[in-house]
Amino acid sequence: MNKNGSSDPLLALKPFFLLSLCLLLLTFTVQAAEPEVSPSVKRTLLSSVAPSQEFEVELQVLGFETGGIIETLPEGFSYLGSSLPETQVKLEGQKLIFALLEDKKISYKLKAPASGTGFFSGKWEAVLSEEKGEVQGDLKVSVLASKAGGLGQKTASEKSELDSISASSASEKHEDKKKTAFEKQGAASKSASENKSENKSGKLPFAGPVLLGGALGFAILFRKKERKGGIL
Amino acid sequence: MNNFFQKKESLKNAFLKNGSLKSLVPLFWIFLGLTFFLGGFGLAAEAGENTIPGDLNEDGSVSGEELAASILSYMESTYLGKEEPQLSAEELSLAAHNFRHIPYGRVVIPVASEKDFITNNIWNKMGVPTGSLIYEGLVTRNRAGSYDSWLAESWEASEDAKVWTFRLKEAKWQDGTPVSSKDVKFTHDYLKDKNLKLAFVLDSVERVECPEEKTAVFILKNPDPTFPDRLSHSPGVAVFPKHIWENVADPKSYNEYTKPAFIGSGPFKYKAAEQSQYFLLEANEAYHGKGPYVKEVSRILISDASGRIVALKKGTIDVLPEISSIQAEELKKEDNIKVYNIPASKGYEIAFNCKQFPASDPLFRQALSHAVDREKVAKLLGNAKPTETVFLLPDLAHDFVNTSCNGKYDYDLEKARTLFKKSENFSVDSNGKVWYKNGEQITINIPLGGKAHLNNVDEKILKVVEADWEDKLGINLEYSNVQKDLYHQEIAKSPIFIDGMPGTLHDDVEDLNNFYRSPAGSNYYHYDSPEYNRLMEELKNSADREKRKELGYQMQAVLAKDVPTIPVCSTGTLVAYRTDRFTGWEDVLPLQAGVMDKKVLLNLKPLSPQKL
Repeated sequence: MNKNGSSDPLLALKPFFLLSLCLLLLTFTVQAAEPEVSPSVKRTLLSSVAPSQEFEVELQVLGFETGGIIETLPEGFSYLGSSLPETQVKLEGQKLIFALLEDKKISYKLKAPASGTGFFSGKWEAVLSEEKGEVQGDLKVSVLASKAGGLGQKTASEKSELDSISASSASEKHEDKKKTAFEKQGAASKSASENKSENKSGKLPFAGPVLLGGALGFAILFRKKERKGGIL
Repeated sequence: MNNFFQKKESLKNAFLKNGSLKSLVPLFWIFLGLTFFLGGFGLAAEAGENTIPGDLNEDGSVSGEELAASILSYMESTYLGKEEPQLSAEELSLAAHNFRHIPYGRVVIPVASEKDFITNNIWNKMGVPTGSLIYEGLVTRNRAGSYDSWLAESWEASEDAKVWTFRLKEAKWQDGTPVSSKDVKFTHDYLKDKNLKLAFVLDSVERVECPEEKTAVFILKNPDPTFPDRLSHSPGVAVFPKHIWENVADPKSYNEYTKPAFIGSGPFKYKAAEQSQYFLLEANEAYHGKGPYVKEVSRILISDASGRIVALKKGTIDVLPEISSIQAEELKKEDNIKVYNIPASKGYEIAFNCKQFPASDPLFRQALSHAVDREKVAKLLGNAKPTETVFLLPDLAHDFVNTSCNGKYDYDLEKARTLFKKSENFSVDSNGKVWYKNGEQITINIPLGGKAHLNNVDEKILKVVEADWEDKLGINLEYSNVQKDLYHQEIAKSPIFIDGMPGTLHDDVEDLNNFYRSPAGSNYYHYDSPEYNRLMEELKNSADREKRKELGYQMQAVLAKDVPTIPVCSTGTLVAYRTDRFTGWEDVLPLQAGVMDKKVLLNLKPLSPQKL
């Protein structure tokens, strides 16, 4: 009942509305908590860099945590270090091999040549399940002289996002034991590792807009039903 | 062989690139030197096979550094064509499973009869003993004589040992329901309400209370300082879930093949079963403790003994427990098969019925104690050890054994005759033969059919004593095979019988209770010593270990004087296993005879790749 003694149908439906919201939230939470992901590795890199610029490449590992990745670095690009301990990395010419123990993300640092375009390729193997595949995602980086001293084609916010990702070291288990190659290079390598929950929460940003959309939808639906003289 | 060493060498180089591992260089060279040495005797290949793939320092587990070295080597070999891969993809997968402690592989254990597929359970009106792999008790006993926790995190007794409080771990039933104190109470109540056989273990319990979700309190009728011993083994009691069994009015209505209500809290859970074929358990990956490395445990039925031997040789089974000494010798010759012994698994004795003449005469019992060649019996049985103690087995009872009583009755027929002469019931003639005083020959009828009848141990013991008792002492022995269900009736009428007991019934002074005549009735031996009974009652009320030990010493001294039984020997259990499939069999000795033991199976680690 409202102040005037008349009942507001929307108020009467408040419990149902809240319950629906809870169910919706639960649905998305469950989905976020149990990702059924087939094994893959995705590479993210800047599309352009300045000559001799140091930049980072991120490999996001999905659907497995233990295995190997071999990256073929473009000619002229030199490897500077990675977020993994040295015992998990091997460089043979332009072939860069990573051993993943319980790692979900790797980032490595390269130095660009004076000019040219570099093409990346890579392969991975998931050791536990004995599956294999090719690294997906960004393949190409261009060295643009006009961008000297600045960022590539990605925006400053993209750069900042990449920096924060690269700061995540690979695994909690090993981060305290071994100095990463980044640290050896004096790079600002942070020790915080991304654990599983952080990884899972990566899906949650989708939940917010969907929830809002869902709530809005319900509200509109209730209004329409009210006009028609009933809800249920 | 060259290939083997090349692999080791190049993997070693990869491994040692990490500066922190350089301290292992000397160890590596020692290992390499040993391997060369063994290689000279053709044993290097076998030693290599016993290593978990990727376990470079052979410490029994694959570390992160070792796995990383193996992965880098594998990737380099596979994608850069450098050298031969150190580990195949399958071996690398096994190494990674070990590192991640993810269960892998299936261990196959044979059974001789279908009833051995699984330990006794609720549906056969038994209840669950603590030996179950699926269920767990509150505590378990170890071979050192103390207790390890299973479901109970901690426990304590009231000062008078009448109230025992157990705090439970954060464990879950295999269907996800939390284990609570209500399950503990339910187990007690259900065992008694349904009159299940294992209810006797909890005879001394008046009631169980649940003051908190994770706290169970046993209120006993009388003080019992050894209550955890009662709960823990031989057979002990495992806790089973209230929410499953509270609606089952008749547990016997369950059939393990059609209604498998195998929801326990243990490290393994039921997966599948086929009558007369197999019974399959799988790792409980939500286990509250350190879980198994083995993914599945399969029990397969091979009723024929020679069939089991062939299966082990062929590698279709991984282990063969309880083999004879002769089988052990045969299997030892095989490549990839090793035999080990679980000591003190069983104890055998020549027992007296102290109410039956002539065993009612203590001098008769003492005299015959000198007339048992224990060494010879042990030799005949194989894998046996003469028992010098009065009852407890040193391998299990440790300092509870009163060693001052040991060897009191050495094998000496002259000493036996001297004791017979001392008795008013017997005389000894000039040939050393013993007669009743009235000139009649002594004839003893011995019923056969008890626990010592398994593998005819009783007959082997009698074969040895017969040579002395009949031929040298003139005592006529007659044997009769009796049916199992009539055995106890028969031994009540006979002055002598042969008995065999699990070693775990000889491991604590509490087990001296076997000779206690309670107000409720006789013991097995019809032995009744007021002095002994008084000591036992004092022991039952003593919680202090040193006090119990002292009382136990006094009781053993009484037994040494009265000889209600002649301990003869203890036997071990011989187990043969394949060395190329799983490692860890010998690291943990089970408390009892078999390998179907939680601690044993939790310790197994796969050595060779498998596809399930």
